[in-house]
This record gives sequence, C-alpha cells and structure tokens, in this order.
Amino acid sequence: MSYVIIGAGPAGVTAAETLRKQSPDAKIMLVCDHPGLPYSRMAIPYLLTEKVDEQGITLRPDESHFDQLNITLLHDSAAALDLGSKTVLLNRGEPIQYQKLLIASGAKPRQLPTPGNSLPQVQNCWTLEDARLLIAHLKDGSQVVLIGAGFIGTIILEALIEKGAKVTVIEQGERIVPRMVGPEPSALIRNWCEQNGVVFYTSSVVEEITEVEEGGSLLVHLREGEVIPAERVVVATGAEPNCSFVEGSAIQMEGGIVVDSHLRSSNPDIYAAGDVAVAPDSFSHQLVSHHAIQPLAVEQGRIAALNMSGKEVEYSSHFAMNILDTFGLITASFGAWEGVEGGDSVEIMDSTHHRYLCYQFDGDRLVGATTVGRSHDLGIIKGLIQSKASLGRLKEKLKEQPERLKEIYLEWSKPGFRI
Amino acid sequence: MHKALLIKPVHCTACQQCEMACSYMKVGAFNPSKSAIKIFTFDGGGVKVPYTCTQCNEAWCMMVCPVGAITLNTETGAKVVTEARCVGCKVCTIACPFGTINYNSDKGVVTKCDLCNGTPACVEVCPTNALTYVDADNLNSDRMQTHAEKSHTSAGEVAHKTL
Ligand SMILES: Cc1cc2nc3c(=O)[nH]c(=O)nc-3n(C[C@H](O)[C@H](O)[C@H](O)COP(=O)(O)OP(=O)(O)OC[C@H]3O[C@@H](n4cnc5c(N)ncnc54)[C@H](O)[C@@H]3O)c2cc1C
Repeated sequence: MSYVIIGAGPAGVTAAETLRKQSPDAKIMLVCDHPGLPYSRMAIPYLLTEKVDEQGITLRPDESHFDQLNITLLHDSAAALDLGSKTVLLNRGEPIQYQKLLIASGAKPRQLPTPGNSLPQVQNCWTLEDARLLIAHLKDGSQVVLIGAGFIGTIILEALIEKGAKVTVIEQGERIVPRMVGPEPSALIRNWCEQNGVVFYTSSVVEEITEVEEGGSLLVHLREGEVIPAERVVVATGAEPNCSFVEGSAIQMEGGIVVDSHLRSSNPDIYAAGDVAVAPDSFSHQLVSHHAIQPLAVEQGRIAALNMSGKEVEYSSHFAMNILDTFGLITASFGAWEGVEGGDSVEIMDSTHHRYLCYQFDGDRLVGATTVGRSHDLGIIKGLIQSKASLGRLKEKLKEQPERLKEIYLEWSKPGFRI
Repeated sequence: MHKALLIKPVHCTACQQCEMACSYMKVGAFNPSKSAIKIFTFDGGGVKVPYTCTQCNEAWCMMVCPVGAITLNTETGAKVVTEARCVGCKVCTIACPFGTINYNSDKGVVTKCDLCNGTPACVEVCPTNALTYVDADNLNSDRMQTHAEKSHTSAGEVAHKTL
C-alpha cells in the first residue's frame, strides 16, 4: 500500500505514525512544505516568550523519528491533484502517486482587508517565520497593536505582554474571545487583562494602517475615529483552510474539505483531517471545521489513518475545546457551551475572584461547559461530554453542587452505578 | 511484563499518606494539593476512592502534546511528562477524559502519575494495601474498564488497571 499525506502538522504527523503502526510495510510519504522538522503552531507563543527554543517547538523531539519509522519526509508542497491517475502534483519535484491520500494541510491566517495590510511592519503570528520576524522586532516596551481578540489572538496577547510589549487590542466583535465563551466570562477575562495593562477596543474596526515615515512606526486608524500609534501590528483575525490545490478537482468543499463520519472526502480514496476538514458538529450538526483545535486535529489524523488502513472507525466527537491562560487566569470551554435548544444549565459567577462555572445539559447529559479561574480536573468535563453519558439522578446533584464535579463523576463511573 | 497500580477503594481509610508521599516525590513538599493521586470521599464520607492516572494505552495526553513532551516509559508502561520539554499549554489537561493530568502553575508544567519509575511512593506508604503494585495481567474487571464501556472511549484503548 502507498500512502501520501499532504501537510506535516499535528494531523499529518499523527496520521503518518498511526499508518505505520497499522501497516509495517506500507510506503508512507509525508509532504512537508517548510524546511526542517515538522513543528507545532501552537507552541509558537512559547518560542516568543523564550520558554523554549526552536528545537522545543518540533512536534517530535527526536530528529531521527521519521527515519526510524521509515516515513519519508518530502520537503515540497502540493500544487494540484489529479484524481484520475491518483497523483499529487508538486511545486518542485516529480508528481507522486498514492493509493490512499490524506489532506492535512491545515489553515492559514485570514488577511486583513484594509489599506496598509501589506506593510512590512504588519504581520501574522502563525508560522515559524512569523515568530522569527516578531522576535527580531520586539523590544521591551514595544508598542504593538493586535488586531483580533479571538482565541489565538488572545494567546498571542499573553506572549506579547510577557515579552514586555505594550499591547492595544482591536476587536471587531462586541467582546473578546467571542467564539470561546459567553458575555459574562468574556467580561471577566477582559477585566483581568486590563488589570494587567492591556487596552481593548471592542466593536471597533481598523480602517487603515499608515506609516509615519517609511519603514518606521505606524498609525492604526479606527472607523470610530481613534488613531493608535504602533511600532508593529499583529493580525489575528481568524483562519481559512489551505486547500487551493484541491480547487478545480471534483472533491466536495464547503469552507474546507467536507468529510463523512469516517473522515473520508467525497472521493473514496481521499481523506481529510485537521484544520482543513469540515465535519458536522456533534451538537449543532452544522458543518464546521473547529479551526485551531489541536486535540481535534490529532484525533482526526489518528482516525483518518485507521480508516485509510481498512479499519472502520467512526469519528464521533467533533466539538470545540479550548483552554486559555491570560496572566494566570485560566479559562476553558467545551462543546455546546452556549447551550442547546430545550436544554438547561447551571451557572455560578464570582466576579470578585474572577471565577465562573457553567454547565450546559441536554436532558441528563452534559453537553457543554465554561470554566474561569480553575485548572484542575478539566479533562473530566471533556470525558463526560464526549461519552454522552447519561447522568441520571446525578445531574440534579451536579446542578446543586457544580463544584463537586469530580466526586459526582467518580460516583457515576463506579461499577454497578445505575441511573 | 508491566506492573500496574491496583486500587481497592474498600480498603482506603482516606489517611492521605499516598497524597503526602506523591506530592513529596513531585514537588519536594508534603502538600496534597500537588499530589498526582487524590482521595475522594462521597456518600457522606462513607465511600473513599483514591484516584489517579491509569496509564491508558492510547494516551490522549501523549497523543495531543504539541511538542512530544509526554512519552512512554517502555519499562513501566507509564506515560511520563518531560518537564524540560513541556511548554505549559495545558492542552493535555482538557484532552484527557479522566482529568488525571493537571497543570501546576508554580512550575508552569503539567503533572501526572509516572509510577515513580517503577516504585510508586503511594504504594510504599499505603498502610492498608488499598494501593498495590501488581502484575498487569492479573487484573481483570475494573472501574476504568467500566468507565470506558460507559463512555465509548474506545474501550480497548483505555487502561484496565484500577479496581
Ligand atoms: C499562535 C497559535 C496558537 C495556537 N494555540 C492553540 C492552543 O492553545 N490550543 C489549540 O487547541 N490549538 C491552538 N492552535 C491551533 C493549532 O495549532 C491547530 O489547530 C493545529 O496546528 C492544526 O493542525 P493541522 O495539522 O490540521 O494543521 P497545521 O498545523 O496548520 O499543519 C498543516 C501543515 O500543512 C502545510 N501545508 C499547507 N498547504 C500545503 C501544501 N499545499 N502542500 C504541503 N503542505 C502544505 C502547512 O504549511 C502546515 O505545515 C494555535 C495556533 C496558532 C497559530
């Protein structure tokens, strides 16, 4: 069997390893579009803060890892697919043939549709090159404007502040991290960040970025009239799938590559996993990619590989999960944190201590949660949601004592527990 | 053959010796809140359950780690955090469906049970044999297995080492 994987991010690498476990003799080719070893985007903030060096962000620390597994790391990039001859056309080398193909080409940052967006002082924070550029230009006290306060923007914010930058954040939406938490926890995080020196402009749109002098400092003009000076602008306004090389082929796309419950695309020999794939959300049932969620990218890479090697394994837990640390305040959200139709919830707010807890139920099942100000036992929430566990009478107990999740969970998982 | 931690809640008296010993191994201080094993009491104190990582086979924490900081100790079967490599992103703490890997904000890294490299301190101090370290093959039906079945979390992949 010969397998080709396009993209050496967490989804592609996990898939390659899983394929190797399943088929010791198969030919496995992993197409990696950047020099060096596969690395992890989500470790980039820690490279910025110098918690790790460049070696520290590689997905697998051992340099000979891929050789040892007899996985060919091909430094090239996919230009187009020829489904008829089952071939991937590359930008540099000869076309390669596959019997089964996995597209794991991830996502790229959305560009700012604003005049001034291509000035050299305006950048993303998405790749290793971006990180190097940012590190080279950041000094203690640098004035940075960060555009976008989504999950990734806010992670970058934390790293920028730790690096000593003075950061102003511009967010188009009414609140920060709007797709991760609701208005109340969002306000808590905002307040906490403000106490740590961050300035936010929400419901604000950047209209133009201009240079004070060529190559020098910038002015960020808001639609609302404000003009904010900056030495550097970092853009974090969302992501879109990397699938230009699929366009024009017969593969079904809808804001990404549409996959079925076995992560197969509309072509039976082609699978997709990670940020490039779109599947129905476990709760809303709408086709979504859940961009930028590492655990899903890894799980999809693993399950796609199992299916590619002939095991029938269903991918059934497609729901968001995020954990965010802003200056020591830890926020996490899971699944249908906004609630589901006909569902009910329990909520505790303690704004003096920046603590918040909310569980969302559908009948006697936990379907979503938000927590602010706690870092322990969070995995249990994910476990209960993913298992679609019937909590029976324990649901009411959890509603009465939301803080006692772990005890209630243990009671639920006891042998012989009957709902 | 691997050995595994065998937990028998019926023998547990919630004396917390295991938590003390574990935290001493982990952070060099007797501080149950830093322990990787925790005792839970419920039903008004009548039921006591020591709870820790079961070193499940397809460890979610290990798979999801963006920098390969969690690896398998092939001798003990434990999934072990390399603190020098951990960036503290906490993604493992929301991916593990059992909640047995947690963030230590003092150290900026995650902590979990690593079976103390084959001589679990919790077992050494447990006065009632609620915790023992036994040949993994001798274990059959257990709580985690039950959990795995309940939760469809690929039962075969979830550990079977807690009773
Ligand atoms: C700054 C930052 C912080 C983040 N923090 C978190 C976090 O805390 N928690 C979390 O869950 N997620 C986080 N994420 C998101 C997480 O990194 C992604 O969800 C994850 O990387 C997706 O994995 P993937 O394998 O699908 O795609 P990617 O990691 O994007 O990998 C895809 C690879 O394919 C390559 N590629 C693209 N096109 C081609 C082509 N034509 N040919 C060959 N190769 C190609 C890409 O260059 C890339 O190397 C963060 C992301 C960023 C940028």
